[in-house]
Amino acid sequence: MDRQELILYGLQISDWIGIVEIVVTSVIGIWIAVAVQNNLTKSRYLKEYFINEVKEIRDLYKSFVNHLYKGDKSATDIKDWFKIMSERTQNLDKFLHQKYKIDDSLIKSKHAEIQQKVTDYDEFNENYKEPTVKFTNSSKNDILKLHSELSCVLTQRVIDINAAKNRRKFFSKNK
Amino acid sequence: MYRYMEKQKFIIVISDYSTSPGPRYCYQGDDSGEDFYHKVLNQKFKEAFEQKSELEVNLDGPDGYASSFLDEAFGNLIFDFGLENVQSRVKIVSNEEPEWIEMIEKETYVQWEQRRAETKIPKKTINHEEWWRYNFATNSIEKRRWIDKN
Repeated sequence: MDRQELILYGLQISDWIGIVEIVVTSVIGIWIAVAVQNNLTKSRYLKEYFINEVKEIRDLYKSFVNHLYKGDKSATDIKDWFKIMSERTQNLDKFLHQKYKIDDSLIKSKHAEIQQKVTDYDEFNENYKEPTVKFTNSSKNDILKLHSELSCVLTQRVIDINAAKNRRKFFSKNK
Repeated sequence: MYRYMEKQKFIIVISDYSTSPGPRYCYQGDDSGEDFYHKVLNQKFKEAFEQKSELEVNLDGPDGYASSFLDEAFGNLIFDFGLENVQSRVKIVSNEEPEWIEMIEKETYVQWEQRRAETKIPKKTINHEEWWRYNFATNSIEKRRWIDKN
């Protein structure tokens, strides 16, 4: 290439190199800023979704336990509710494990423990045909204790989600 | 209620018995664990046992279970046939609520085997028709009304 061709608009080669360097650096900078920001936004959005799901499970449980305390649910209602919640906790644990490699059984194990305990109580079985089940004070205390343990598990999950890092795409695709 | 498959495999789908399994005992409500054991599980296990086949019990489908239903049904099976016979023949399947499998295999089986060893008679809340039980002394199965309503 002719040296004179590169001397345009009164600029020397070194000036052009400087300009190109500035442009390239700026483009890379903007690209990194946009890409990283996008990833952070996506990641934050997903975490918020999972955290909201945990909160919703907590609220549903709180309301359910209140009903058990008041004794205004039938045995079949209780049984059905547990099954619906089983699927929900199972899915949440599964996706948290896939996305963040968080231990995949914490919530569903505690949920299963509560389900097994409540549906084994004599009051539950003896009043199966009745419109409502009234639990004894002793059973209510057990339920309260288990509910409190579940609340701890759910809080721990929110902490885990916040602290979690995305799994590399290679692993998530293959899971 | 139950299906026969090739390779000598027997299958019980509990939702064929009831879409809403009930409480522990017959007097407590319809489709109880006691009722399911005497109407379905005992007979089907005996057939699988005689043919040295596997019995698959599928829990998926119903609107949910009380743990007492499953405990009474599978517990009575352990009491009548013994842990070893049941473990080697029965396969429990559930995609919807796999936690039940863990409960049955780790708690019900162990507790009812202990109960069998201590001869703590299970509660029968109605007089059932004769049912099968393994006789460990003669290594054979016998049909009788082993326990009256108690």
